Amino acid sequence: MPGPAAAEQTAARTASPPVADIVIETRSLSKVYRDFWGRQKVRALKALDLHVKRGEIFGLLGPNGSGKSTTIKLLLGLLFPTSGQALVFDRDATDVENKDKIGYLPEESYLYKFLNAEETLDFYGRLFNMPADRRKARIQELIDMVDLNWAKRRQLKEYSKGMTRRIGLAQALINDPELIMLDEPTTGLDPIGTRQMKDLILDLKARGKTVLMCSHLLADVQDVCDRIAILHQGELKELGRVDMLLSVQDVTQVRAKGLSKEAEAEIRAVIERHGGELLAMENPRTTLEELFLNIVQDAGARPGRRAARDA
Amino acid sequence: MVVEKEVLPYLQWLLFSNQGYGALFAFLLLVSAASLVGILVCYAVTSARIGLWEAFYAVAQTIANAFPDFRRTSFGRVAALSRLAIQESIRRKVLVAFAIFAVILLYAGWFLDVRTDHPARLYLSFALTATNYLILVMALFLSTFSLPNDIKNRTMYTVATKPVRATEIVLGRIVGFSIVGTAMLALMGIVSYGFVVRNLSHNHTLDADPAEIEASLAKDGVWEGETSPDAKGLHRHPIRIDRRRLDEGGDITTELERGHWHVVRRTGEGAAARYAIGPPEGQLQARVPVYGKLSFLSRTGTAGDGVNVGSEWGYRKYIEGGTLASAVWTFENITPERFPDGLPLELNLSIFRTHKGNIEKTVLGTLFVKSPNRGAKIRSSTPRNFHAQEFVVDRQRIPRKLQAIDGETSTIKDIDLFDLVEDGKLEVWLQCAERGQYFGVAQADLYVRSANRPFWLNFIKGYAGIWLQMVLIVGFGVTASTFLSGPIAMLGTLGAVVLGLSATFVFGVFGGAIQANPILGPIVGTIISEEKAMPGGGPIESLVRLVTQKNIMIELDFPWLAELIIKSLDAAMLGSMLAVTRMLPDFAFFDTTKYLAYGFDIDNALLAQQATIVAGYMLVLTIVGYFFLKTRELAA
Repeated sequence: MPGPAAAEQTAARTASPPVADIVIETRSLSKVYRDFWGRQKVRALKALDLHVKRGEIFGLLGPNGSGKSTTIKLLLGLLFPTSGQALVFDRDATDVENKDKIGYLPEESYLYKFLNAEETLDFYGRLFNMPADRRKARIQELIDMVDLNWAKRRQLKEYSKGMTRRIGLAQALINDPELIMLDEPTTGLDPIGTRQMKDLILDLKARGKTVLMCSHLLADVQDVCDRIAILHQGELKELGRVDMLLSVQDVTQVRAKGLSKEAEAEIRAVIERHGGELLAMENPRTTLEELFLNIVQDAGARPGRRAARDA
Repeated sequence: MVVEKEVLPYLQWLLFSNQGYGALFAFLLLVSAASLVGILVCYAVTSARIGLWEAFYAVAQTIANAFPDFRRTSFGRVAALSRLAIQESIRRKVLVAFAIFAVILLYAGWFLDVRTDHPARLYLSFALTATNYLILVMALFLSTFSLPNDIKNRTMYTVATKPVRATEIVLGRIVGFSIVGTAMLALMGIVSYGFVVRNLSHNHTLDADPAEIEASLAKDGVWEGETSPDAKGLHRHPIRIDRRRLDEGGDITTELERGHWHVVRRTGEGAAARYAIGPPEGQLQARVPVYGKLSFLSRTGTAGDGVNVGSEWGYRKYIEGGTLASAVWTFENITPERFPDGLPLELNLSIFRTHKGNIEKTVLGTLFVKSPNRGAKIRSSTPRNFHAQEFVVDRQRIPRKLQAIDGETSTIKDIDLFDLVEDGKLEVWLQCAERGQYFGVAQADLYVRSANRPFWLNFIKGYAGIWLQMVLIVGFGVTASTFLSGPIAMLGTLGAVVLGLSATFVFGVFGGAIQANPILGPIVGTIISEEKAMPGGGPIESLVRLVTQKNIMIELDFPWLAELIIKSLDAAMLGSMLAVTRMLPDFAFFDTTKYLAYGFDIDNALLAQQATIVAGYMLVLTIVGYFFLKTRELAA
């Protein structure tokens, strides 16, 4: 429909990076939850601007209630934005045409408990109008992948949490999606399961898929994500590459071995004059946990501002 | 059987039934009015949230997006979602409903009045009513809780994030639950059929020694006696065996008792003769009635109307006995090909007695067959007298060979029945022969019984009516559940059903007020022309009259502005009540159990009309469900 909004849209589109490389784009995406009478309850998301590029693993981090799940639901069209836009594959997030290329693993696997693993995957496969033979092959492939061959005839209500999680993952991958959204992918999994999940995510990346995951398990995010965004109370606090975010730029760390006290003193002098053999000279790495806690504390102290550091 | 509304031929119903407008026109009118109101309400709600200008785009976009969604609705996905609905129903132990049904039928025998004169009617209406209510309750529960549960359990998240359109979610459920209901209904139908047949079947034997019968036949040419009582000891049939009829090879039948008769067969001759009585016949039937147009002649024989004897129900009108007052049915399309053996008439009269006497005593009536051509040389057959009884279907066969008085020579002549037929038209006149007694008749009380259709087919047709109601409820339930929570959706659907069932009553209550309203009356008066204008006004005017103690017959006598406000408010309230009542399906229209129970064939045109109405509703309900689901935040 021609109108001022459409003109604005095309203007914004030309300004952004090449369309082909951007899989997810949000433009001052905001979400306000209202009650029945339209009164404002919570501002779950405040003017979020994000770009997720093709082939990267993007992590959304934040404490409980920070707006991670809201963002994912907005990107899936399960929620409608109060203002701003959520674009996936350059279309509106609610567009059904997008869904062919998306896989989604919800935070708990919301599946039909009265179906067994095969029936579950068969049902979701049918929703993609997959032909019967391809569907059958794909179901077996996925069941093998998530190691549930031994339990594929059991109803999901008998499954343990970890098993439900796996079948949930298989369900998300049934259509071999280009973009996978994982909401807390490792919760409920044992260490081995967690490792497998991380390997799988890295494997998806290797196959050129884009992954958007949200989690509050920082170690997982640190291990797999290329870029992260940290949300706190609906506001974007930090955004950048994980390796950049975790290096402490203004500190240098030197490690040496087998030096006498004099030599150490000398080396200090030498280093002052830029000489000597350096065994190691690097910026110490902080852990994501530390960064995260700093940001959350910082946000508490100075609400409404982007975190002090710049990525 | 009471047939208050004539069943029109399908095309006539579709195109011209309502003062020349027809059902299709009414449908289109209602749908466009409802869409307009719907769009306006949506716009108002949306603009309250996001502003006038944005709301315009939002509403326009939603409507524009709907078209590709409808067009690309995939059969495969609908089938997948229906399968899921079926699996869900099985998990939710839908078979419990069937178990309840079986138990009800098992113990029904204890509570049904087996001594009734019409056992077929009793068992059929019982089995059908039980099926009807159970299946509707089942459909109500299945359809209204499914979608809200999916949203509450968030299983909808994994479905809605697949390339599934809202139409498919709505249709998948409607189709799935309809299939479950169909299977259930089929099961119940088979069990009901068995129940009815089993309860009606019984045996008699002859209560006499064959040798005695043979002796009597040889001596008098006739034997009269009775069958043995049935196993429950409820009835016997008198029998009259006629030697001549036996020799002609004709069937000997017992007398009619409790709505059925038996065929008596003789094997062997003389001393070796044996008599066997066959199974009950004629109790499960599907008569095809041909109705005529009813008109009345007054007591002086001039064109007039029937008498109202003070009964509140105006269905039947009465003709006075011992006068020229007549009820005249004009039948069309009467040909020798259709009725080679004469006209089989069936009468079902009501009798109003003005003097005391034995209530069991019959009243003498007279039938004439007349040509509709007033100037015909021979216009009327000689009178045929009969004894009219109440609550009994009286069978009268008008034979081919009739006698008539020649108007010119005043002699009695033999004529053929079809000599009186003019362009396929024939009149049947009914008069009451006893002074002071009245016959009450309605159009459906005298008909030509043209043929019998197989009962099982009629049974299926009766179940098709229940099936259509079930589908309608599933549609309403699923659509209501797209925007309401489970229990509320169920109550809402139930409300729609109850209001739909009593639509005629509800409408009767305020139809008069609508006609009388100066604003509403002229606009919709033609649509509801059957209602008479009633004084007293709508809810607001009534309230004002109540408070100011003005009875309904006196003028309101307020300043014109106050009166205008009162009438306008009334118009708005009555108008919306009219709209709501008119939009809900008239569930009573789908109830064909009385046809089945009374042994009348269910008119195919009626079934076609019902199916068309359901199809129309399903179309609209799917679209409404789509918009509610599409514009709803599933994760909220």
